[in-house]
Amino acid sequence: MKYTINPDLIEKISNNILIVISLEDKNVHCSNEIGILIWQNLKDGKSTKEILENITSNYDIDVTTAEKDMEEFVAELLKNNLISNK
Amino acid sequence: MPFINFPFFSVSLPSDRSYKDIPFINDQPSSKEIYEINPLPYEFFSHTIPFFTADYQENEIVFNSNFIKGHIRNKIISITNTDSMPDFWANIRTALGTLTPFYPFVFLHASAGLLENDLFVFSGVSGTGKSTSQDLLQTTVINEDGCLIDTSRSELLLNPFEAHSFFNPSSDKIEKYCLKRIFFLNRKDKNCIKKISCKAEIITKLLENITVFSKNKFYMEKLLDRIEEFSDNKINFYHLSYCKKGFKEWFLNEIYN
Repeated sequence: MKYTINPDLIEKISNNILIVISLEDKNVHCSNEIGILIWQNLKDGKSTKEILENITSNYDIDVTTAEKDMEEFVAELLKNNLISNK
Repeated sequence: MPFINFPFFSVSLPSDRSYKDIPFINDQPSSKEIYEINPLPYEFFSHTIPFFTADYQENEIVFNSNFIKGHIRNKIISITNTDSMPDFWANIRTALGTLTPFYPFVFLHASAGLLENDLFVFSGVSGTGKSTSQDLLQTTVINEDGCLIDTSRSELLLNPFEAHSFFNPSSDKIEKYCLKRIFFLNRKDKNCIKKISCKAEIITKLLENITVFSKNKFYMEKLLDRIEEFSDNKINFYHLSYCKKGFKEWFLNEIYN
């Protein structure tokens, strides 16, 4: 599965924190380091499968946990209209 | 270069610069004449003109001579019609808050009060108890609802009229108060204070309480830069909820001990 980033966003990475502001609803969203990795991979057009591989190769985390975390994160992004299905 | 004077500070507007890529800042500008922003030089605080003049050329700030109503023509900032001096200055502060893209200003929804020369800033949306907090602490309120903050210096900027409620020609400078602590208010029925250590949380709370938001990307990117800069300064941020009974004693004990 691939996603596209909503163009009406302001994003900034600062001190390993991803800050995303939706210009539509003015909501502010923050994420941690793994969130940054997922976000950047989504921006690069990578599939969830590729992102999962990136997470498990960069962090000491098992596939099941990483997959669950990623799915939750992506679901949250979808729910807040920060990304949409390609 | 057109030059405009009005009490407490003067404004020199470079006429050769334009920012047409910024259509507007306020979501609901009160004047149809405002289209773009024009930067004010940071030095605008440095001059003193204790009387009022206005220049009605385009590309300049325009205030009418009764010192109450004004707007910035062909510019983004609107100073709405007001019928009192405090309202006028409140609008000025709002206008200055829209200068975020060019100068290190943000406009925070907050009240500020002095207690034995210590500044207490309570931030929160309407109804969270900013004024009540100041009442309970028995502070001398210097700013009721909106604080113009210099994010680079961590200072609250205040026109002397707002602070002292009278016109004093000898008090010609914008007053600056050093910010050490900001309290974000929550509605709860118990006394509770918690220092915020997570930077993401500080940034989120500051953004929640910034009053001048826009859908303009350029503005928002700059705003985020300012907020980030501000959150890096040595200011302590807290979550604060309170009940009225015994608030002052409890609060001061928490802060000073």
